[in-house]
Amino acid sequence: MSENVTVKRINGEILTDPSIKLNKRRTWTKNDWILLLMASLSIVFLAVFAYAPLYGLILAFKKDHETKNILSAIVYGSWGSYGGLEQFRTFLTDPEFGNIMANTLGLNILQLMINFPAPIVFAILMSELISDKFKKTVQTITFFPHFISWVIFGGLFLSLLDYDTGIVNTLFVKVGLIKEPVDILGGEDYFWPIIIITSLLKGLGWGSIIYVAAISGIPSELYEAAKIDGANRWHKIRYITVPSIAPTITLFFILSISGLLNNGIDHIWVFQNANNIGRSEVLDTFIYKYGLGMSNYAYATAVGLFKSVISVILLVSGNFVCKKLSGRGIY
Amino acid sequence: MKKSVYAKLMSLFLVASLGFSVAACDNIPKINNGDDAFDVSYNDEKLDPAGAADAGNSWTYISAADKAENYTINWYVDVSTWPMPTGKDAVSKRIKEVTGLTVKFETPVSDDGTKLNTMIAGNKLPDVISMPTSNLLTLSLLAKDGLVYDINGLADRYAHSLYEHLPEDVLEWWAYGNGKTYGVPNHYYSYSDVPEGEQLQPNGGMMVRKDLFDSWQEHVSTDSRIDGDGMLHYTSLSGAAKTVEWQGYITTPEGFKEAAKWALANYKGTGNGNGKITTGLLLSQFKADGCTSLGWLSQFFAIPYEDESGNYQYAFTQESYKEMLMYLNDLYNEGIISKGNFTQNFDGIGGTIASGAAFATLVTPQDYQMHFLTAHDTVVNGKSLEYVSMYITNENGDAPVLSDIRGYGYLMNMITTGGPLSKTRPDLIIKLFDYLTSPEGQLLVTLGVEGETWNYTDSTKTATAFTETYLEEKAKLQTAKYGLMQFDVLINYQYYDNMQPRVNNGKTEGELYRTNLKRPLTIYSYDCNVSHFVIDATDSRYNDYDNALTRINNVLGRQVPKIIQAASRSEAESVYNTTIGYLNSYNLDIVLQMNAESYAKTKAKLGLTNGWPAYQEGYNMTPDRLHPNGDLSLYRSY
Repeated sequence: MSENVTVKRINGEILTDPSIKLNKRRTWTKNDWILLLMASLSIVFLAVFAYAPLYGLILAFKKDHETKNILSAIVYGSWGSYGGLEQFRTFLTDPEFGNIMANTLGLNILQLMINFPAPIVFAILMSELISDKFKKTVQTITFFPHFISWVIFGGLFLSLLDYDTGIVNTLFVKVGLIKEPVDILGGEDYFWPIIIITSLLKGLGWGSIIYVAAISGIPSELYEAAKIDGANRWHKIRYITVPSIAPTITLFFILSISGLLNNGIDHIWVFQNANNIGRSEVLDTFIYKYGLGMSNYAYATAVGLFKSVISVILLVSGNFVCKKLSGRGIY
Repeated sequence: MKKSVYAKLMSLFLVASLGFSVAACDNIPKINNGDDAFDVSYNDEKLDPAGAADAGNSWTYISAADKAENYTINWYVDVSTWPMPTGKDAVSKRIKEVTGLTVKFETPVSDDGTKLNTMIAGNKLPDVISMPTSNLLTLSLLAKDGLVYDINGLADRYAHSLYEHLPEDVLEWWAYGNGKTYGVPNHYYSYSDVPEGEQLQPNGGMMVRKDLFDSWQEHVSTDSRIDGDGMLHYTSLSGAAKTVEWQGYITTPEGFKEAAKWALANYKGTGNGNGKITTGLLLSQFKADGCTSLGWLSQFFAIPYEDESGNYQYAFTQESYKEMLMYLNDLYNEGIISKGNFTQNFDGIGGTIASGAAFATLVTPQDYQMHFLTAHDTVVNGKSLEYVSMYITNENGDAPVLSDIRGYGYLMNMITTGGPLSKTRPDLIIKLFDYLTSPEGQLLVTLGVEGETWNYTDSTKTATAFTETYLEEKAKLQTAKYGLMQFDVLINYQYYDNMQPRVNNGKTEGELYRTNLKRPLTIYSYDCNVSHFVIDATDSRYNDYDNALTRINNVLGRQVPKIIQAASRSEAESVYNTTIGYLNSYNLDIVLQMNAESYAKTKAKLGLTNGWPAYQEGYNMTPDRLHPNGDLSLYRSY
């Protein structure tokens, strides 16, 4: 089977040549097999860790606490008795439901407003640096916290901000900035700012990598032409850099919207305590506590499924809105 | 590609994914539901020889072939702070010699139960699981899912002599409605072991910085409210006029509040180990399911767990418990309980104690004994930061009713039906349990190898003494090689207490300080075993009970800090009432109903009409206000 309009390869360049007819049933090259092999590893990964566990969603429709050995339940199908939508009803009528949803969405929207644009701004600022040495130093310093676990990074802040013995309170009281120590770690009002600030400190450098890469891919001719046209730095950023990385920004924005219900348990967990629970209990911590903490798997699975469904709705909506506004989407 | 072909391929892919994942796991036991719940199967090929029941100890029947197999037991202890034996000490070697078994221990990094739950969910069961007996829900679910053997079944088949070594009341205490027991506890206090008339020390305790306590006593001794008879006149929290011997004013709720405020006004400051304090009253860690300090304070405030007719009473819904919470709210608003207390973890609380930064504490003393020892050994301006025990009463002046250390176990040791990590040999493990539970095994793990570290001193084998070699090594702090008190997962502490050398025991001042931490409070401690009733997991309502209790504990963990930290009493009452509403919506009724039934059954088992000591016949205890620091004569030298 062939068509009239075809292409040919000459020295790696693809040229249009109507005289050559391309056979659609092309043979697989060695490179194709290597690519397939590489991709198959990801597919196996997805199969084992993303698709196979879907079977466990059955638990969301079972009664609580009838099994603790999930693997055995999968193999023998002994999930316990059918509970219908009981688990979902329990969660939706839980007195804490509103609070948990408010925390989850509130914290994430705040992060979307602050932590999403921050790496973009940072990457643009980095790209404007002239001194390579300074640029590399800044990159190293800002990347470093990413490689420290939240337990260590958070533990550092726990020590610094402790009410009785933390150096921040002690110092501020000594220099007269405050009269009494401030309960930063326990105060509900401080929890969200702590999460935002520590997220920024830990993830700013790492989060900017993709944008730094996108900016470095912009042809330098564009900047040179703009310079000839009399554009200053601000103009170049506004009319060349930002539009050039807009597809990347859109992609990550849509993915961020779909992740609005994901908070990252390790981060929240480190700073959560009995005092700030009113502002720190989010879906992820709730699921963790009821699932692995209390082995109430049916309930935790139901809440997890609820979260996934909402995330899919957010993803589709986000993609739709982005397509309408900018003409770009992820599918 | 046609859609139908695509759908078929996709389905095939998903099924293959599942098959692939499951194929990666082997030896998965089938869990039990419905009629076969609690059932396990046994390998009857390993039965002891005929006549073994009358012939002696079960471990003596371990065959040479089994010993040569060099079986290693994977033993998981679900306590992060439990110090694992190295396996290279004399005790471990002796266990290996006798049973042919090697034990490999493992512990989690935190105590939130997630590691154990993950092991169970993922079918990575060790041979033995040791977990706190307080975790009743997991204990019962392991049994219900058929993941652990019943001890009766194993003992009947492979270790008859266990019945001679494990006291009957201990085995029966943990039995479910089907008559079976699914683990062997440690630190149990069998009625057959506790010497007649001996009063055991309490489980919880209140401690106070001795130097600050002495300074307060000196300060209050000149108080203008003291009359000629040495009675201090004060107004109680509810506004009533009251009197008390001035020495004991600190033991009243009003007096303690005043003393703590005085201490903070005079000694507040920061800095590690400088003698300054940061808090008036230190409570234990506020966890997701609550704070143990509340339990200790409710005992000091003599809040009963039954009414005068002998019916079970749930603590949180009682008016007296509510008043206790209001008292804590008052202490918080007076700055006596630090805001930082609610965010501190175990290490943070330990650090506060070790640096002497709390005027008084309501933590579980034995959990922080090394921190108390550090404070004891720290000297600032010539004075030790030592803590000593004290007590506090309720507003009415009722004597504290403290639950004594007695109980039917701290850790429950369960033999699992096995996971892929082990080719489990329950027949050998139950023999090891038998050995460790026997007098021979108990003396081995507590005193070491006979002849090496200790010897009997009488022909009836009722008294012991350490060897000179051991005492010399102990003086040089070189005793790790002997392995004493390390392999304590099946220790019967009361038996050890009865048998340990009373004199020349080589105990250091620090060890004696730790031993006696809360002993002066013994005069107020009682047998409260009845309050540690076991819920029958074979009951058909158990799942509902389990669900309700999980949610109730969680909501209490969330709400109690809010009550204590409410800006005013009226706000605290409002949060309290909201919490009661939550509890009712989480099916508190089923918890109350099953608790009440289990309580009544336990009372019957123990032959009690009333379980609350203060309602029992002959009780007429009144607090000794002249000795607010407890009875120091109760200190022991062993």
